[in-house]
Amino acid sequence: MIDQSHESDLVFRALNDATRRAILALLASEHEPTAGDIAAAFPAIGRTAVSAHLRILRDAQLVSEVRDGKRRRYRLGPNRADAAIAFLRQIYEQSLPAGDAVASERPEGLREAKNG
Amino acid sequence: MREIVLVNETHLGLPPHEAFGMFGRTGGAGWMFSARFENAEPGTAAGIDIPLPFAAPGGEATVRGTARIVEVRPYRRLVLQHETPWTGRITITFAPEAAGTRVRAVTELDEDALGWMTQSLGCAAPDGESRADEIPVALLTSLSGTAGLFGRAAANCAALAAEEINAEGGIGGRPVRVEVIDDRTDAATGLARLRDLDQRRGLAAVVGVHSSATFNAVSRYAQASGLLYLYTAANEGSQVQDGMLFRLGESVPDQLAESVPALMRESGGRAWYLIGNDYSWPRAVCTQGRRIAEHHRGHVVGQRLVRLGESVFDGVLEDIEASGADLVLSSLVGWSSIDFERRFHAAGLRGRIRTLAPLLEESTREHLGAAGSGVWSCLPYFSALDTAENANFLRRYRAAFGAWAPSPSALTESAYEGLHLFARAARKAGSPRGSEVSRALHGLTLAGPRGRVSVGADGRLRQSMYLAEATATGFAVRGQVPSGTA
Repeated sequence: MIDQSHESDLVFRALNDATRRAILALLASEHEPTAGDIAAAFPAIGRTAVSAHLRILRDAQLVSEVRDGKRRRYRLGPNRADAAIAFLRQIYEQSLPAGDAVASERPEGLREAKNG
Repeated sequence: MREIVLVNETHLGLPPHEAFGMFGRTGGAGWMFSARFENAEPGTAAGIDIPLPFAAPGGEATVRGTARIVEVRPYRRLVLQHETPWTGRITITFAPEAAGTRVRAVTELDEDALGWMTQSLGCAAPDGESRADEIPVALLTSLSGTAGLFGRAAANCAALAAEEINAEGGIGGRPVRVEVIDDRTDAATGLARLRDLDQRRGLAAVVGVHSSATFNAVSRYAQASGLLYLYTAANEGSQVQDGMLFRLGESVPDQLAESVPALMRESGGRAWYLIGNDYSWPRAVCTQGRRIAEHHRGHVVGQRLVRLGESVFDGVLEDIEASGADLVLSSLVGWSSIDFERRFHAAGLRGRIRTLAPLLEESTREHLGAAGSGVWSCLPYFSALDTAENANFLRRYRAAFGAWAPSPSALTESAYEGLHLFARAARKAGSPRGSEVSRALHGLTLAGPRGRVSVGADGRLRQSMYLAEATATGFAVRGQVPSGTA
């Protein structure tokens, strides 16, 4: 299942960023926010940067755009499976105590190959 | 089966025995989702709090799930089996290294983890490959949230029934396919997911093992859309069968009519304290419990309903002690029940106050261990039932799902009866169509793990009820009474 295609490169690139993963989490929690709503949730980043993140997520098909009059709304999909894997990874990264050292994470396995 | 493998490592500045000892210790936040359990030994059930990267319905940041400890090698290795909300296996190893211990967790997740997560991302319930001739039947249950600890055994029982039905040629040669829906112990989620699945797949029926709060939301949809709905969980029993809606589960009077006076006789107590979660079924238990207790010359000295999912009971315990109660009737459900009974046990109240908890079944008791010992329950099935049918059933269940799968209970085994009754009625009707199956259900009998059951003209199940006392390792069956005596 190691996928070397262009599409999976896009997914890997899209998921390999904490802000973009946070945007996915926001889209999972809220019903079709606008770009403005999303930017408001990340005040430290700036609107232009949020737009750039949304474009990368869209190119990876993790996020799709819906026209609502003059506004654009965002929702998850069509590629939900990769977003789901990203969330599962994030969950298990927190399963061990950080202890007094920096926790390291080494993804392995078939599905993970394309992400790691 | 194992779809995703995740590996996490960390260095702890502690020797391996101390790192190992942190597992499951209270306050050891973050350690394998704050796993909580009675004893670190194989077979012990554990509660886990899985942090979600997004908000669950109700805004919770974590989802309550269950796991089972399957292997313990002190200071070296621990293996956990995920049960809910998804299945998988976590192997944790401890290796000494310079200035401490390297802790490594290898997590192997099954395909359903992906399914659960995509469902949570707003995608419709199960979307697997399906054959055109399959007859889709939904099992609506709870795999997360307060009632989530029931879901795995219910899903196992439904899957076992489907396998048996299909081995006998299905229904008119067509196989039955069970689609499991997690309502997350949330009525709106249950309704939305069931409606979505029905509209996409055209369900032949739904078997429900969930709270009556979900039932109240879903039954309106089922009635409006003509969907056959077999609600097999314990319920209020206040209404008779209504079109294609069957309340097959034991009613509150079925559960209390004999058990309330029996516990008064056994203990010599008369003063009851009623505790439950605040929704329809526990309210019915309080109302009926009071009526039955008073009928037998008992009285109620206090009553408290707490929100579904409540986990803090200090105030309630003080109230119980102050009330002078010598008996408690608990209609707490799932995790609320476990949290209450643990505190009750820790406070040393078990010796002087006897408890009847009509929904304390195997899934709940397995998390309590010795802390649940002495609590009474009254249900139409216990896995301890000593019959050839039940021994046979348990053998098939263990062969299919392993030695550490959660034990079937009245609540969860009801999915097995529900599926078999559906198949039998559909064969009798010569069609899986809901309207025809519902007519064929009346008068049907089945000899299953819980004994002989039959569907009455009122759409309720005639079955035996068993009175049982929880022990540290299971249930001791104390007596048998017929249903419908109240």
